[in-house]
Amino acid sequence: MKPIAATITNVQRFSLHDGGGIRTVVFLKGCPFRCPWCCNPENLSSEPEISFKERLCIRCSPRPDGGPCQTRPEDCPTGAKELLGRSRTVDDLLAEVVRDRSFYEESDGGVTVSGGECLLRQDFLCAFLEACHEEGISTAVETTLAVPLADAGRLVAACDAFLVDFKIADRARSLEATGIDPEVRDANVRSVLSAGGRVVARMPIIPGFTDDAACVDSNVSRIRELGVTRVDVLPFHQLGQGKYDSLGRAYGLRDVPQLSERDVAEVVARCEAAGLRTVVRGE
Amino acid sequence: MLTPRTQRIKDALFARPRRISLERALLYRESYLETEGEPVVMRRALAFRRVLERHRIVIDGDDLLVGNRTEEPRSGVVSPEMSPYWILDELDEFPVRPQDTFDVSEEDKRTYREVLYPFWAGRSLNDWYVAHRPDEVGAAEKDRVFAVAQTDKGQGHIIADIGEVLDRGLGALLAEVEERRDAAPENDFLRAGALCVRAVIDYVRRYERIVREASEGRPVADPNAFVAPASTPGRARELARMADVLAHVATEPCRDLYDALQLAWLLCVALQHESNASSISLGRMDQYLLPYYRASVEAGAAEGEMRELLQCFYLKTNTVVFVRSTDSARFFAGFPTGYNLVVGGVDAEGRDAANELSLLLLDLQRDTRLPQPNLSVRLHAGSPDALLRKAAEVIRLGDGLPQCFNDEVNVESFTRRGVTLADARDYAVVGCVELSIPGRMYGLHDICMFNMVRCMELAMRSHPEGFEDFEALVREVEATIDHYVSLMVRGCNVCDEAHRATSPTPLLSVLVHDSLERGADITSGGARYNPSGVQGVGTANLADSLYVVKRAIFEEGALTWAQLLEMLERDWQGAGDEVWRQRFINRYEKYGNDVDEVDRIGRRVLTHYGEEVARYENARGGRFQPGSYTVSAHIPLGAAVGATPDGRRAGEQLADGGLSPMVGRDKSGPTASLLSVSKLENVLDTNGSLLNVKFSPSTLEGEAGLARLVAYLRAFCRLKIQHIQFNVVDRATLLDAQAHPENHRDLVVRVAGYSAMFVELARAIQDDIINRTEHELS
Repeated sequence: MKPIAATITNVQRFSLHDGGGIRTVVFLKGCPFRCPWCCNPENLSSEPEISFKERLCIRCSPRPDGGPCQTRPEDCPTGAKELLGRSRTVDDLLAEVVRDRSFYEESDGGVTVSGGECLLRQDFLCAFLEACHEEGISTAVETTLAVPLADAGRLVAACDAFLVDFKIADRARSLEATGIDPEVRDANVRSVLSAGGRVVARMPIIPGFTDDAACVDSNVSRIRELGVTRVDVLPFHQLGQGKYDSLGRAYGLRDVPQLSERDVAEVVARCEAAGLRTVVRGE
Repeated sequence: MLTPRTQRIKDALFARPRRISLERALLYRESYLETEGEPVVMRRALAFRRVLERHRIVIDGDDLLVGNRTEEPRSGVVSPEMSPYWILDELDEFPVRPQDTFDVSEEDKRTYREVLYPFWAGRSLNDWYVAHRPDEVGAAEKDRVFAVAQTDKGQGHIIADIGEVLDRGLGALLAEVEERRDAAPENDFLRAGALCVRAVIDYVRRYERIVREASEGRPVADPNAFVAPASTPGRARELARMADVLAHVATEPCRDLYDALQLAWLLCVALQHESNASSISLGRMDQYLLPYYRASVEAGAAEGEMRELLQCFYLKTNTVVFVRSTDSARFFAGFPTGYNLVVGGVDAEGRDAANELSLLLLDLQRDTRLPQPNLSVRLHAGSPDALLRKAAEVIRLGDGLPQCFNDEVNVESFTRRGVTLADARDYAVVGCVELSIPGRMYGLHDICMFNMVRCMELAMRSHPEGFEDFEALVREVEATIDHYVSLMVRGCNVCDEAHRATSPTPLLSVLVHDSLERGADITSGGARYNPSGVQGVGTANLADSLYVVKRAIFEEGALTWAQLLEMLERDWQGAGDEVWRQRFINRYEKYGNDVDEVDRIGRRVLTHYGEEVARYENARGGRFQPGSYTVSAHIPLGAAVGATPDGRRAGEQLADGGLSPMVGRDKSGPTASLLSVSKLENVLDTNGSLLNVKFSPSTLEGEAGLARLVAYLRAFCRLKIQHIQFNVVDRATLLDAQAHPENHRDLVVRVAGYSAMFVELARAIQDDIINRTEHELS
């Protein structure tokens, strides 16, 4: 049998805000949704793609007509041109993530799978998370939870925490702006919880999309109704901007200012007033 | 927080420019003029006594402890008896040199040129060394693979048994030394030792007399004393108490914290007067001070009062700086005086030894925020959370203190070299990161740094025809290392003998077991343990370079050996060279990213070096042992090496620290870099090794940040890495401090094994610290 593989863009060690403790985050490529503020645009398409960072280019093979660099990513001396996305098997990935075992164990950390939407590859995801469990490593996923679950029982057994996004609360607006159906998510949250899973809500606060009081309040009451008690407030940041540039893609939120500390504090206050344990940026 | 008193003391430390002081040198010469014909150990003892009797004592208007090395704090004490030459050469340079500047008056320059230099020229330690150094060692030093240290200054790098003196009292110690002397009247060392101990007792009494007279408003009789006007009205009462303390500790065992701190500091000052050397360190202060601390608590001493006393002690350790030659200051920039103070660890039976004083001694850094004492915490699997949390809190301040040491590997490292288990468990740290057994080891811990990268360069250049395979290349690098090691150890041994012949240290020896039993000065093998520590530098650059060669030449055939040598020779200046250089940097894995194949090369070479040096015996019947730290020497050692296949340019620095990855090459985060280091045979580095890690302050914010750092330290323990230290300061702050030093006079940063005031560092070191990879939260 062919070993299960998935397209991975990055394995990021020493991640500190993705499920508790010191963690390694595995980024799966591919997402059915299109949030305009996405900070991992390299993980939207499920196919490998080429990124080009102009500032690293040393013009090693300049074209006489001044056209774009023709160097293949595998020949690029500086890493300015890179192929994003590499097919990796469960075993291959496991061998990499177990290296930080000492750090997971001492910090109550572990492995988090993110994306993209990692639930697009539930076969791989479950196999990988189960492999981590067999090594005694704690697991988590970062997900919209807004895609159908093939086998909720298996997933919940393999995953110690679900970090679930609560973005645009209004269903029609959400479907239009991102493609996410909050009702699908809510149904999945219920089935994860009823199967004994642990859910942490995550609310990205994006100017013009999710930062209005109505959206925040609506998300907060939904989170409470579902029986989730902990929310991470994730203030908007521009860290993904350079990735859009290197992928040659337009970024709609360029130059949108960061939230002020006060804006963030206000959201936190609303969450806490509703009795949710609230953490800024996650831990 | 500092109290108003200790704040004033701290401010005074930096109020005036540092100066060169000739006082000790003049007194020393004066004594030497009178002792011609005496055995050298007696001459040294008598000169030492003269300094204690005559040097100018200053009692300031605030301090609760006395003991000043120089009239003004942080003066540079020159020792022409060790080498008069570099001082002469640099007299005009002191105020303007790039690192560690000192003012020097025209009159002092004249005195030096006309009085001191002519007296010592031809009869210093350095003269002895140069006269006895084999020609081939001198020639090898010119190849810039190694340079023997302490050929122009005191040996230092040792921890005296201060605790025992606190417990027994100077009187009992004197009685023992005199008894041994009387039993062996022909033994010059015991005669000198007794003279030194008596001199220290008289020195304490000299302070007592001055303080007593001042407290009673009487004129001070001592012609070489100055009592500053009192800062506060209650000063007479304070002085009276200080006089009582001094009267007691002159001969008697200490009773409480005040006694212990006062006597400990006066011993430190006396030892500096004797050796004028870097890194006569404090040892495990949370252990030997504990009974006195508890006695004070028992007696009802207020917490604030004890804290203030400890602050006074900490500030005192910043009054002593060590003046180095311009060259030496490049290797040890920014005054690593080396008042290394260790807390935590296990006791002689292997049980956790941390206590309430361990936490307090760490916490004091929040008050003083200065580079000394150089705080070190020993960690082991069973260290209590409270100790780790306190250490993490203090690390988070950003001063680079405390640095952390790992009992899980360091104890075994010593027992493998024949140190008893109980002694090994009592290890402490001298200077920066050099591991030592307090009061029982004279380890020449900083006798030489060895540039392994330069050996690789020489090996490559001497084979323009190339090598049959990668193994042949590595063998040649190893053979080159072996060749220079054999010369290095001879140079170190001549230096060792030079100290024996010209510069014994009888007071220090009395405070190091088993000198009294053996009747021998430590320079003559009196100590129980007698290693010589030599540092192998360049693991990261070697691993990275050899890996590039292995892959690009021997596996891929991407270029020829001749092509590579040409590019290195022209420092990547040829057409198309930059593409190769970038490829070598970016397309080949690097040490520090947890890539086994690269890390294994580093392990192989450093292990080879370590095993090779351990084959050699030194002049005191001990053996050579490896360490791996650079302090700031990765900058000058890099300057000695041309371009290397890892993409490094000619003259560019080597990897910092000793075990750290090359700057900017560790891209997989701080867990991966720790794992790379853990693959080295760290247990071999008995002399100590050094790992720098830099975190952005935001990574360690809040309770979660603290917990993260504690977890990181626990993992460090498990991985059996010897040492780790942290810089927690953001890039923007450092850049601003470079641009506007006047706004950052108090910024303390970690250099390597020690902290320093950032604005006192030369530009190259500042840049190095700024460019070290900063691990961000992600």
